[in-house]
Amino acid sequence: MLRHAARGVCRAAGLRSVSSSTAAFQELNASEQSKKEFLSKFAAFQGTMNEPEFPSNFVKPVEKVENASVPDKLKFNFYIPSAAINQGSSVDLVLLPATTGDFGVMPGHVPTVAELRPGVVSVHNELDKDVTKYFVSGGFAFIHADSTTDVCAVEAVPLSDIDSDAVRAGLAEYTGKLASLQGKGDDYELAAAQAGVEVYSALNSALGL
Amino acid sequence: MLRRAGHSLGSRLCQRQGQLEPAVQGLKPSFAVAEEAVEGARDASTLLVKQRMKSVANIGKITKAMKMVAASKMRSAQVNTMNSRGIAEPLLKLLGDLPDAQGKKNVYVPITSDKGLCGGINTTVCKYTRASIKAEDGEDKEHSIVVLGEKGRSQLQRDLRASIHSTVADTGKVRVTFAQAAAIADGINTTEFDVARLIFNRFHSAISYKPTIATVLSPDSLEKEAEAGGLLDQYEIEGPDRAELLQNLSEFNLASTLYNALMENNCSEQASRMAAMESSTKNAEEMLGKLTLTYNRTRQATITTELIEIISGATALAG
Repeated sequence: MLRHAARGVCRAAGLRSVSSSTAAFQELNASEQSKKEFLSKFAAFQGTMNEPEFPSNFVKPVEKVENASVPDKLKFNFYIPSAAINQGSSVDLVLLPATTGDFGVMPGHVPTVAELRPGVVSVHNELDKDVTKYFVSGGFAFIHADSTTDVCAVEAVPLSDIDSDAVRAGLAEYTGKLASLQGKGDDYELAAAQAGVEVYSALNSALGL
Repeated sequence: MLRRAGHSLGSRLCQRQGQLEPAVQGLKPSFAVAEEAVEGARDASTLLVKQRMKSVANIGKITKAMKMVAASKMRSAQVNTMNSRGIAEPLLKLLGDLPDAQGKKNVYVPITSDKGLCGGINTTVCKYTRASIKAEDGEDKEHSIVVLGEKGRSQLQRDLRASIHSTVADTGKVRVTFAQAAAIADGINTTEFDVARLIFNRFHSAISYKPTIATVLSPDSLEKEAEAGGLLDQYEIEGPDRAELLQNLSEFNLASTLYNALMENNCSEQASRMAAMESSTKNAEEMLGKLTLTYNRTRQATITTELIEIISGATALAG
């Protein structure tokens, strides 16, 4: 985590912010160009139809910020398929369970794409004072150059909502299944059992059982 | 229905002939038969109109009920749809929206409903699918279609049967879930596409749903775009190596975009059905009004004619 913070501080000094905001703009330009190309090809077969819409038409474009300094708070978005748990919240720190290990995100973090493993996401609205913890089953986290953090998880539940008895029972069940499938059983069943053990072990340690 | 009318006409003729008055019996038989035929026909026509009125009233009741059901389903679907928009957004911002991405294998996923009576949304999606296929077709390009929904299949199989790879039905039968979207995404992945385009109706309001095309790229295409100066290069990767990460990212992108598209289309379907059933009910009411007028007119004409007959008969006897 220190290594990341140090890298972030070094990078934050000026140059990076200009190049990456232009890069975001670059991506925006690529999208706009692609859409225009498509619409011009589409026009030949359009007839009486209206022009089709594209999902990016409804997303607010990233504003071009020149020489932005490191903001004091992180802009945090936390999405699951059925809801937006956080949208544009200002937080101090977010701890994320990546497949390569846990790491923390503070303003000025290096732009990162992280794949998440089943584990706990801690959202520090106020550093160490106002903390909310969620257990996520997996997903992705994107940290952008302007200190916006997007976390997309498949499932996220507040730790307080998890039943410890159910966790113990689940862990026992899947460990048993994995043990009995060793060597035999098809790949799918084996993978399912392994995934079950991984998730329940993570739940176990998250609850401190 | 005409046959039945003829039947009742015939039976009435047989009934009435036995009751003819002795005085009238002297008249030419053809005249008597003709009069009977006309009177029987008048009764038959009021019966016909009455039957039609009953059926139109029933239709009005059914469409009104369907409208209310669709309205309540739309209200709950709207909340879920707004909530589902979040998860696809970060991927859109990171990977961009590139409908004109070039690739050898293009897969088109039109999302339609299974049930009918929902207005023109399914036809719209199919039209845009056909136009997109033609627009992006090329020399060394292949295209295939994975249809979601029975209505889309029945429309597209008329001219694009050879291109249809597979169909998925009963998507909204119980509830649309992310697991379902992930399973369908797995099925789409078996086509080994380079570029996948999802065509669906995006929900804006109860009266506005716009056809939208969402593009998802395969890991190889993502790599190509990244090398061509895309955003992905500027990011550190915490996770598996680049190839595996792009694979997972692409699959996740497809699943979340598909989930959002399914929810949006479901909501649009309910809104469209509500509007279609509303106009159906209005038409049925209008038709019922017109039929009631016809019925009353016919009834009054029958009574008037009977009166005329009686009076003229009485006058003939007196004079």
